[in-house]
Amino acid sequence: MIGWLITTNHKRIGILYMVTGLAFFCVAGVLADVIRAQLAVPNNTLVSPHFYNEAFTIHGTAMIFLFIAPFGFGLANFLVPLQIGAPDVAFPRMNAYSYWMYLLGGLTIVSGFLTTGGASDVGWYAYAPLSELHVAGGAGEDLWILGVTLTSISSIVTSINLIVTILVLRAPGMSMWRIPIFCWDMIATALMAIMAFPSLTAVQFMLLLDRHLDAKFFNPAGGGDAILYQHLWWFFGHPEVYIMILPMFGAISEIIPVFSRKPIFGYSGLAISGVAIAGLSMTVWAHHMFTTGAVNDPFFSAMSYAIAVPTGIKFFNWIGTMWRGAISFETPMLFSVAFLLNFLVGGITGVMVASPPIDFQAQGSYFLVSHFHYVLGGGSMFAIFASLYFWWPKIWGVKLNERLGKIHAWMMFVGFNVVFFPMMLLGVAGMPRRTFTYPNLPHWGELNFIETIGAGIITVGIAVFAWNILVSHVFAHEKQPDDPWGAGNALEWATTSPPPEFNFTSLPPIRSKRPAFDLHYPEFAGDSPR
Amino acid sequence: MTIALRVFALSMAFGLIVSTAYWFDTREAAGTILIGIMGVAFVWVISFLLATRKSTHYDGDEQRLPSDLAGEHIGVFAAESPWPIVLALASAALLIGVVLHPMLGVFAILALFIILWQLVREST
Repeated sequence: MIGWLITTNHKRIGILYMVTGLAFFCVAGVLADVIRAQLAVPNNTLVSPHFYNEAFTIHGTAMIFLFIAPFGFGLANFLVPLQIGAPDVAFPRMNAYSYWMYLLGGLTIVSGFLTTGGASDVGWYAYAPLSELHVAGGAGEDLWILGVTLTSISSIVTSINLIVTILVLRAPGMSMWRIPIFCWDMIATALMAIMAFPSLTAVQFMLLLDRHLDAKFFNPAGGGDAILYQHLWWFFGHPEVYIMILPMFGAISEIIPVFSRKPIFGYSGLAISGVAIAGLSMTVWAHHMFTTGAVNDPFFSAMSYAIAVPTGIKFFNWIGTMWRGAISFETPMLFSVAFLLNFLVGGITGVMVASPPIDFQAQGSYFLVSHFHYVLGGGSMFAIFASLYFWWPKIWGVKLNERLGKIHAWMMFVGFNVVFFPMMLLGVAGMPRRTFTYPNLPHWGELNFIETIGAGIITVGIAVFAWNILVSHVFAHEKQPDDPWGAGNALEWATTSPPPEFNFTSLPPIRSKRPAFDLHYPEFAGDSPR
Repeated sequence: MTIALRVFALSMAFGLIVSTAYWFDTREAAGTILIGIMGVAFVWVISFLLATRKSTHYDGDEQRLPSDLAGEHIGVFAAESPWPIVLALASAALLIGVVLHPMLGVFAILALFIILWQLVREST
């Protein structure tokens, strides 16, 4: 136990990140079930309006700040040094510090439930003046602001660490054009985080000054500007979407070639498109503010459309990788294909709402909620489960049960679409988001009830996953080889499962983008450009 | 390192061009400054990389085979340290203390000095 508290080893810290992320995912999941139970039937009063507001605020906060984004950093913590042939990250103590800041930030946010006024209840982006002291006066709001700031500092610190690690600690032969796509996407993610999170930290400090020293940054009556909050928030908030999805793009780029038994298609396109997505994502923030009437709609609309190009490159490259491959559908591949289908829906609806006329219609409706859940739930969350099944043998030396894994994957896919497709229809029908309850309008009750059934299916699916972990570890007798999937490409598959303390007892020659594959199949090995 | 330099240079050019275009299109200060800072930050990164280019060496850019450089032979890495968790606790106490309980903040500042001193000692 003490060893885990004082560890600075990147693999242990990666595991701590991922396990903590999953714990917060459970908190967010329970709150999502509360939301769905409340909305199951019209005019329901299962929970109070105040608690409902707390539930959707902390659900969003936990999923974004405490699960999806930190999970990506956790996976990177575990994988990046292994993939580039390094014994650890560049700054191990700083790495441990960033994890503990994240954990303390998360606990601070959730501890709002223990205060007399309850947790923050103003939504995950805490718009001023709704989050100002005269509206949200409880300590829960202060704890939310402080917790978010702590996680923000954590993300900046870990991003610096990852960039330096990838640029500086690569093993001999591991040139930049040979690092795995996951590492390229982590460079892009970390660059975004370093540019975006300071804006979040700044705006939260300004909000604290407004609340406690009456600074009036966001109070028009005192010469401030409420729109400034939105600018600073979304300058962080939109890149945050890509901070959550890009690591998962990287993970999918590692998984699909293994189960297609082919090298990745369009390596340089995938690498460059990740960086392009990062750059473009810094210039689209105000598409969240079209309806304020205070931003240049054509500029932000055009930049938002432009992101579809590098994203499309990635998508076509994944399909190109699968094309005429010897595809097998083990659990990680099932989740990956589900990711592709869900993310396609999320991406297309994203292109739709990048158009101001459609955004004016969709703003504040469940259409928007469905869209971003297809991106972050159907996209990132499915890729997280794909990653867990894929790298579980490498992390723990135990392979998760395939039969239970497939049941889990199908339940998640069916449950997810049963929740979020009807939600899109409700949004088109005009149902507003964040509403505590709703009148008995035609089909609203039926569609909401179907969604609640879908939430139940997802919950059972998660229970199957938990059961799978238990069963697989209790009945694990088989020692996992270095490469349990049989066609691993990146360097982590060239060391033991789990790896030794400093990752490798001997490094294989690195002459291509697939050093582990070259090691296990020397008859097919070949040099690739540096 | 030239690849990294190119990535940073392109990001810098992108930030500076887009912020300039945004300013002439909108005359809106907040957005211009936000995008502009992105470009200017990369100017600093690139300057550092160029200034240290000749004195730095990265194994990844080497052709030699790495079989003799694995594991702990690559370098010395701290496997354990009690100070990161204590530093995080003190940082959180400082931030929370300033807002909710000033005395907690005062103790946190004192603790931070001691922890940073210990960290420097441990690192050297």
